[in-house]
Amino acid sequence: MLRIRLTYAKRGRACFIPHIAIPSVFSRSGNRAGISFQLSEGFSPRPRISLGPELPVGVPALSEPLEVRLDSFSAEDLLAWDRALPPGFFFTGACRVNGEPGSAEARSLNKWCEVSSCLLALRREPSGIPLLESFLRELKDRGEVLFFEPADSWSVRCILENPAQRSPGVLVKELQKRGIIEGWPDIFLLREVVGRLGVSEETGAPCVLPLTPPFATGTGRDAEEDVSGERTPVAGCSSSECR
Amino acid sequence: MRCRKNKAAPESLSVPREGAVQSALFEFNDGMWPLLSNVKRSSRYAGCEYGIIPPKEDGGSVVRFCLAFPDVYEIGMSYLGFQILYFLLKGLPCGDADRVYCPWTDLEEQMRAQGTPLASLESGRPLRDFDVLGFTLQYELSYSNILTMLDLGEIPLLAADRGESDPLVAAGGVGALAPEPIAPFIDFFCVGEGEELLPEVIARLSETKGLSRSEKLRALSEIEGVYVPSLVECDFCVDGVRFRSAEGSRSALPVRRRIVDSLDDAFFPETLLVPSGGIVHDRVAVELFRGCTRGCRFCQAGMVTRPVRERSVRPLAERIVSLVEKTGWEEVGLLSLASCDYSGIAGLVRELSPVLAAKNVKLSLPSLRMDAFSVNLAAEMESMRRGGITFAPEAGTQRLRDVINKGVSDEDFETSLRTAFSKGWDRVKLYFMMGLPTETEEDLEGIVRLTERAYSIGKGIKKRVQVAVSVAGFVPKPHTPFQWEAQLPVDELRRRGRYVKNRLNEVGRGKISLKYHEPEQTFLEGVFARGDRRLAPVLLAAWRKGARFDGWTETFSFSRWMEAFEEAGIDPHWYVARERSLEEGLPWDHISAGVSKEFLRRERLRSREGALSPDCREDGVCSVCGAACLACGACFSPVEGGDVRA
Repeated sequence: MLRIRLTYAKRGRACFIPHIAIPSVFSRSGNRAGISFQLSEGFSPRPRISLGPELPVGVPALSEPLEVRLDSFSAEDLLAWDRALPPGFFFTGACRVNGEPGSAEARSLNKWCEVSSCLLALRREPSGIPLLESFLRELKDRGEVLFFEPADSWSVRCILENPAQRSPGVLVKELQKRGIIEGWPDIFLLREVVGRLGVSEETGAPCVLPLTPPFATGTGRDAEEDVSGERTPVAGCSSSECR
Repeated sequence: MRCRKNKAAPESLSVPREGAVQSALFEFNDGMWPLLSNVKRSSRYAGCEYGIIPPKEDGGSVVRFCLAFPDVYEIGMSYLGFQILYFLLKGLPCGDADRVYCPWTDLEEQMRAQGTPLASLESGRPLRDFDVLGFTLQYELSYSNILTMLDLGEIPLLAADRGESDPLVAAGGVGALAPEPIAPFIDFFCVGEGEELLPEVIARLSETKGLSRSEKLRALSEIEGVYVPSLVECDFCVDGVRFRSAEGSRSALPVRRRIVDSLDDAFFPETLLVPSGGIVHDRVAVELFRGCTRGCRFCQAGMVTRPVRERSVRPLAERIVSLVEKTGWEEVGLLSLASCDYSGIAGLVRELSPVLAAKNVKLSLPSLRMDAFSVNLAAEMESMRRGGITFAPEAGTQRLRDVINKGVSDEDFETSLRTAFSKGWDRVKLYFMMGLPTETEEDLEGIVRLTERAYSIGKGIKKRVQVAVSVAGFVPKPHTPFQWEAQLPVDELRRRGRYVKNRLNEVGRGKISLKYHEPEQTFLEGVFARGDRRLAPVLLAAWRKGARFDGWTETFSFSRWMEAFEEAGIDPHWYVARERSLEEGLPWDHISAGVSKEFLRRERLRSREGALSPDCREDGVCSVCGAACLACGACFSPVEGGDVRA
């Protein structure tokens, strides 16, 4: 049995596919690609798929984690599976999770998800950045937001702890409470990454480390090494590997 | 933004595909996002289907056809017909296909507020920019949604108001067999099976590109099975409706329903579109056969899909396995009007079961006949035993079942129930109708008695038993032996529904649940099922008053409809409450569905005598005037004497 961790992007209108439908998105695409899922026990066996913290409907994402139990997995499988995904879904990283039962490495996916970062922008307020910043400062003072910084000219990045409890929807509620927005149509949210807390080498600021070594990071490791067994280093692992 | 530069397409997945790493502005700039983030079930509008084929390049001869389903996505996407037609159109050299479903009222409201036109699901092309917008007519109470979609698509509602730059609006499906209530909104109807008809329609439209609307419609009207309402006049006489070709029109009346000769040879896609957001029937759907020869006299589908055409077992089994592999679906539904009547059913199930079980794929038969064979067959399908089992005795007494030619005896009922419970099922659903011709209180009491019997059979075998009863109000439908019958008025239908409910409460003591349809919706369905062109202004008025999704109880308003009838000076009861004379000109007399009027008359007469008509099939095929032939007129070859095709 292999425990494989994947990260995926959910882009465009795919952000309207609800969390509850995500397992079947991956099991059906896996079936199309001939992925050898391990099935759950019981009357209606299903592929064993665990998801990371729920992402609210309407929020696109760049790196959401997911774990599957498979009988075997190769680089070809990963490529085939990626191509079998419906429009808007893309794999962005993969690795094998090792670790003896009970060890820190073998802890459940949700325990790995310490923090999340998302981009935030006001749709109807092109000059809304200062407004958002003062809002986020207040939340940071109250301990609701771990960190924020301008991401670019139109959006702010913010890091939230404990994503299983604190989804980006919390920000929408707080903005609504303050009358900054009326509701979802006024705000833009994108979840960049869910993972472990790290420190940016460039700025020393907090950052979120993805739970798989991202593809194409120039580390010289390709997906084959990541997913095909013995040689694979522990996944979602030490921060230097995950950068 | 954490953006990475993409290089060449990956051999292995060392780089995510380009779409994954595009800028967040991609979503930020999607003008539909604020609307979609503010509506219920936004996954309806997400698209995100596996298997879509990109649109063809714009070229002179490509005919862009948008398949339009006048209900929400999760219903429309469950419809096998569009899966077939989508791939059929995509495969035609001059055809291209896209789809659109009806936005729910919350999105409609927002689209109006923002001035956003309705566009197709996949390519986002506004409806007004297609060559053809083709609706499927599956249910009378979805007609108001057609107007919503036209209007949001910025296409004039009435065919007469459309200009040269507007698309042609087409309609097909079972509703095209009695199309008059919506005729003024439709440029042309496709009568019959799309696999047969659409390639010709597309070819004709491709040839006539650049010609005027009226020239195109004239060309289309020459195709057998195409009905162009603007080229057919209807006169309302004392003895009913009379149709005649408009002056200068070359279209012949009646318009004959087109069918494929052989399902094996008919187009069937090699893959299917797979939705991501969850739909009503989320599975691989395949038809075992088309048509039905059981001859139930109330059943429109059974009359208008004749003759029976079966697929061969071997290619069908291979296709099913291949579809499962290509789509990744976890379930296969074997569809037909009565799947157990498929002559190869036992062999097919035997062949498929182990293959699909190994893939953890469920096999299901949506319709079960009431006999031991069918129940035993279903019991062999491990996957079917996980759910409940459904039977449709349709009527409560033997007498009434004979009237409707439902060949189910009390003994069949006993046997099926006994078999089902002893094979392990503990949940049974029973379908009945009320308001069938000649129904009396005794027949309603029969529903109660049968339900009670089902429960006690169950209790004799199982510890916990659930019996759910669903009673639908009977709606006489065109092209059936009951097309001349009166439909029960709303009050009477409600009284009978309450009667059955109270009686079931008495005997079931809460153990038996009953659902019956809203009598007002049944009434309106009946009006439009057998209506004529004079109903079009009523539909328009009701829609203007806000009629939307009339098949949904949460949006249906009967008073709105009654106001619309009153303003138009139309008495809806006239369409349903009276028994029509056999000589009356019917509003669907200009459409030939296959079965002859003579056959329908004979069957109606036999129903009054309670005479059963046999299944006219022998060994799975239409006996074409063999001993059991009832000369329904729908078989392929005319026989000596010319009686059958008369």
